[in-house]
Amino acid sequence: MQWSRKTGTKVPKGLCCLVYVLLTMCTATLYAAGFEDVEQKIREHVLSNGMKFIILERHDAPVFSGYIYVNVGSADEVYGNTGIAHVFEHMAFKGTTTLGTKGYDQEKAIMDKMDEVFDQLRAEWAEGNHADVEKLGELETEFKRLQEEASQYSDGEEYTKILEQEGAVGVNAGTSADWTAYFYSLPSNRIELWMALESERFIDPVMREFFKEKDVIKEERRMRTESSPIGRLIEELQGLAYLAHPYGHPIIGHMSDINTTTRAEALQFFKEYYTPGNMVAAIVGDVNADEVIQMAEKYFGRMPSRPNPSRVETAEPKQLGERRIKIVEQTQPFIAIAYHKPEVRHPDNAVFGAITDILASGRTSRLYKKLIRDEKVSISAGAFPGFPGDKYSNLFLFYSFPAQGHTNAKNEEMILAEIERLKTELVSEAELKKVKTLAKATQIRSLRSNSGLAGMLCSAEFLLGDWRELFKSLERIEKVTSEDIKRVANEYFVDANRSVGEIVTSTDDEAKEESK
Amino acid sequence: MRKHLLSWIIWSLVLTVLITATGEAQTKPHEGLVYPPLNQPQPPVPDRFELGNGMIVYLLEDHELPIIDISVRIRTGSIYEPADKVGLASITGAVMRTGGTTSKTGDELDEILENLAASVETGIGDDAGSASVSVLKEDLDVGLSILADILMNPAFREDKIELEKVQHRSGIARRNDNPGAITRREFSKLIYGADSPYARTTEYDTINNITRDDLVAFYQKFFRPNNIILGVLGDFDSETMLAKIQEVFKGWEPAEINLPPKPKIPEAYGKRIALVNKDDVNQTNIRMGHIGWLRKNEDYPALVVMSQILGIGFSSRLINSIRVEKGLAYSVGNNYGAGYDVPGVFFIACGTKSEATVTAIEAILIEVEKMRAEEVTDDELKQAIDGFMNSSVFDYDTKGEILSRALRYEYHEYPQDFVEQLMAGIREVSKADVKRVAAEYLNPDKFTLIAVGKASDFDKPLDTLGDVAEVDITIPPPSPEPTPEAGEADVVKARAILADVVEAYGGLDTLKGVNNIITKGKMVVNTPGGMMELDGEVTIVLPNKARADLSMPAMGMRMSRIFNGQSAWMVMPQGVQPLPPAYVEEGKKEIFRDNIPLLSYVSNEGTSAQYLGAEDVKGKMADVVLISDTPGGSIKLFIDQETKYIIKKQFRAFTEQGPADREEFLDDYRDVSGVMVAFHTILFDNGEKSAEITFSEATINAEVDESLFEQ
Repeated sequence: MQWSRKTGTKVPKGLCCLVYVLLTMCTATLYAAGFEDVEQKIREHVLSNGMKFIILERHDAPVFSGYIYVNVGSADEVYGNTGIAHVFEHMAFKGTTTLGTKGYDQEKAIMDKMDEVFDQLRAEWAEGNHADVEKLGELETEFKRLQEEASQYSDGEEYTKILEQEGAVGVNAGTSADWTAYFYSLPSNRIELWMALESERFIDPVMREFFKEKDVIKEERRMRTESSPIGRLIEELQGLAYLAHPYGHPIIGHMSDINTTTRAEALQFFKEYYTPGNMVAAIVGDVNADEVIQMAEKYFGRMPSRPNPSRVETAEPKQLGERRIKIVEQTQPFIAIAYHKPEVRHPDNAVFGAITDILASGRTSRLYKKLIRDEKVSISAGAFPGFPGDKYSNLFLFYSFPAQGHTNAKNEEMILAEIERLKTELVSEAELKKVKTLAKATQIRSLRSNSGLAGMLCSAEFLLGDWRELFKSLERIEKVTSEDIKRVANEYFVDANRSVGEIVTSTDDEAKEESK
Repeated sequence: MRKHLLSWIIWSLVLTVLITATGEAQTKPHEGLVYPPLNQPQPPVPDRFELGNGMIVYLLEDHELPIIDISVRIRTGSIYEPADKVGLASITGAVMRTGGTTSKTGDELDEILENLAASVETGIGDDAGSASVSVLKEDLDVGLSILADILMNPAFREDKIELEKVQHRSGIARRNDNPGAITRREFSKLIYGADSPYARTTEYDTINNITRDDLVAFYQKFFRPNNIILGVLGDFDSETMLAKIQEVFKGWEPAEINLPPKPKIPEAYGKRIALVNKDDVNQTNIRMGHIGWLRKNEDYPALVVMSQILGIGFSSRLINSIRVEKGLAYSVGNNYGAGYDVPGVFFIACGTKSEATVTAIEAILIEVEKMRAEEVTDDELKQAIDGFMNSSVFDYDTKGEILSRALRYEYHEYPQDFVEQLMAGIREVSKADVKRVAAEYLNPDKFTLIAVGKASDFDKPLDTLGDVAEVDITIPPPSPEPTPEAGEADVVKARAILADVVEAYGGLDTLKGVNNIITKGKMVVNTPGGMMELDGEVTIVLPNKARADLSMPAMGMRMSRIFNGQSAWMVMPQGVQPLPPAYVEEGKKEIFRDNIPLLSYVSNEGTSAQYLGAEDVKGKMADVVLISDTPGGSIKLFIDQETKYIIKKQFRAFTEQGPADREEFLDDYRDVSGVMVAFHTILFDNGEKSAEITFSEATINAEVDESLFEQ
């Protein structure tokens, strides 16, 4: 047994959802994978309700990874109800009318009553300072009583408990600006268990223990955002960079929106976006594709066909001038510089991939050599090509953690100088070749993990329009020229298109005062 | 395989019973499923070889992808580094790779490897050193030969040692920026003792103490073939691979390695509650626990099951009580508490909103007590054991996992079938075993508990739980640099120059007659938040009092900063705020570094002054004199050869961002009551301009109201 497999504090649900991704994620995920024989081995099957299955048989070990990817993320949320995509992701672990309950009829009656009381509470909260304090107190008492009552009838973790007992590993889910994904691995003889449980939770979800789970989510928000200076800054920067597009609001949602979200809203969100045509599943591992297809028909074929949801139509208007936010913290400085850039399916996307690697992959990258190795003004500097999402026009992000005693200003100056170099000098052939070699090697290495591959196939299906595009990404990288890089840098990395976010150290209390 | 089937049947029986009991007849989606037998092939076993030079080699072929990975373990670790050089092992581990080899610089290696999208890395952790290679199959020879070169001939070039020190110093400056990291570090210090090799931290001093010679000596002590285990995984032929390994390490001689004994783990521990007060968070990081146990302990299988039921995974009690039922935490749980060679640390961790801190702690402790007092249920036991048995196939699902386990067991001298033994043990664990080990090994009365959070928002004071010790996490500034050897001639020359300087400033008697100096003027500070302009009046009363009254005309705001020799505080419109001890120390030094007290001091017999040579400072030739032992720290003075005025000072200052190398450039000297005072000063910290001060007026020995320095 390995310690790392079952850690003390379980890998949390929604792990992938937030800002830390930008600091840790491999920059090359989108041009990953790419062996013809792998592509040949993949089977595709579309159910009559529109849900697609992608299956890759790999018989090296008696295990498989299952991945369900729903083409919905925080970008699909509307103001006033931010965070609902992530709330639903949590709720998808809370069972169905048969799973997670000790008596659904009684449980349902109490939950309905709770909804009524919650609506009254919300109405009272909306009064703000004018709320009737006495009435609030009564409602809260009644609400707590109902929660206690409901808990007698629920076993909210039964779904996960079954999986854990049956030997599932890596049971988790994630919400991003673009997608919501559910994934884990099982011994390969339990493929039917995966089919039964996964289909059930998207056919018959029950939002039980909804309000307690919202408390859990609020703790998640406190942990990732509110108690973390970098989390706080990233939320500010996101809001700063976007005037109109929903990429501007935090994936986890605003605290007040999480507070007021109702079960009815979560269910409505589910009905609108969890349609079979808006979902794709991938199974990679020791399975028989024919059997998988049969079972998919049997279990997921039960999902009623529904019209596909409408998509975001708001386009971010062209930015007219540089924007800047500085937050004063007790911590050391940090700077992030963001430029608007087009969506992942834009022809220039591969060029941004190449720029990312030239600037920030490895010890021979330009930012490492200049800021870290030679000038020693930074301890970690990088570039990230798709923040906060990929599907829509997004941000190319540069960031640096200044070395002790060095300032954001110095780091910004040096990052801008490196950007200027891209705009004025052609990247050498050797540098470009290195990027292409790295892309190839990354592809090969990415084939190692069943779950990683399953995830990439799913995300390509929706983000790139077809999972087969995954295998064409190398070609696109291959075609990038040094002229492309110069052109793209000149087109997008311009001052008026820039938003800068800084953490500045509260050197003394004047600075703190200034921020008030 | 039959076992899986059997366990399934029992499970469905349990469910049936449950469902009947609650009067529900609806079928659950997984009920009635029958799983086919698992087609589990015999997992591969890596081949083990011992080379003539004593190196242990494990080989495991994996032909699925054209990749080869090498993983090396070296018996060493930071637990063996000297206490005054904490960070040595880590820097040695990093610079082995970045500092290159005797024939190639680290930068050259970077180019070679990254052009092939390959990597070779090294590192040294607490109790092991490691090296790794990852290459496409066709680049094996390049990767393998670089690995061998690094292990056998590291050059430890100075520039990369400095780079690594910058990383470490920055890490020290940033170490209080993340509440989770503070919790882990301070908990560890409480558990092991702050000076224990398992818990001590790098400090500016321990990093500054480290020299290249130390790296070389540390390397030589441990890096020998007979102290190394090397594993290779991937697309190769074992016979050829073995020959290649022998070839690249040819000529590397074994040597006797005297591995020091592992440092002692404290056995006695008692209840301790610690608080780190942090006012910029709204969630409290909680950690509690004590020294755990060894993996080879005969009770380990029962301890694993007990830990699992208490707080690992979504079936566990802590998740169900703290997260699911009470909604108090996103993340809560415990670990398995075990170590390989020395006992591990058993701990429970939780993050909860400030307003629920004590409530969450109490709820966790109730679960621990229940674990000790009552047997777990049949369902819980079965849930846990089934989970281990059914997921055990994932112990073998990748060859990488199989190989790394083989290396790990070899390294810690555990049997190669340890995981199989453990699984067999877990299968036999009973409810009575779980209760017995919980009662015997969990000792909540002696838990060390730490809470990192905003204490003023806690639901109840932390001392509801017992006596609380507040932990000071202020980062200690570095000690002054040691004095270089001084020749007698240099001392004599320095004294002569300083005598001239004292004269040029108005003579010793005049200088010693200065009791106070009041300056008014303008200061432009380059804060990380941008340029800030301040009007100010600074009153210095020698020897040790200073007060700055500042106003920001742009903001219409006033504040004062006062230091009275013992303590320091700020007065702002919203009230008075004490400044931490580090500011008091720096306050003393700052006063002393003013020209007037400094020059009076250097005129004393026996102060160490040393001539370092002449240098150009902004177009003027200056004599450089080092005064290494002043109460303001070690200071370099740059003295204009013509005017004998100090035109530059260089010293180590302590700033909010940690220590900084400060340079002050002084000019516009004017006569104030017979003393020369520089009316214009520009400050640079670490080479970046930090402030510019321009006086409009200066007065010496005016009437000063002592109440200005009363709190």
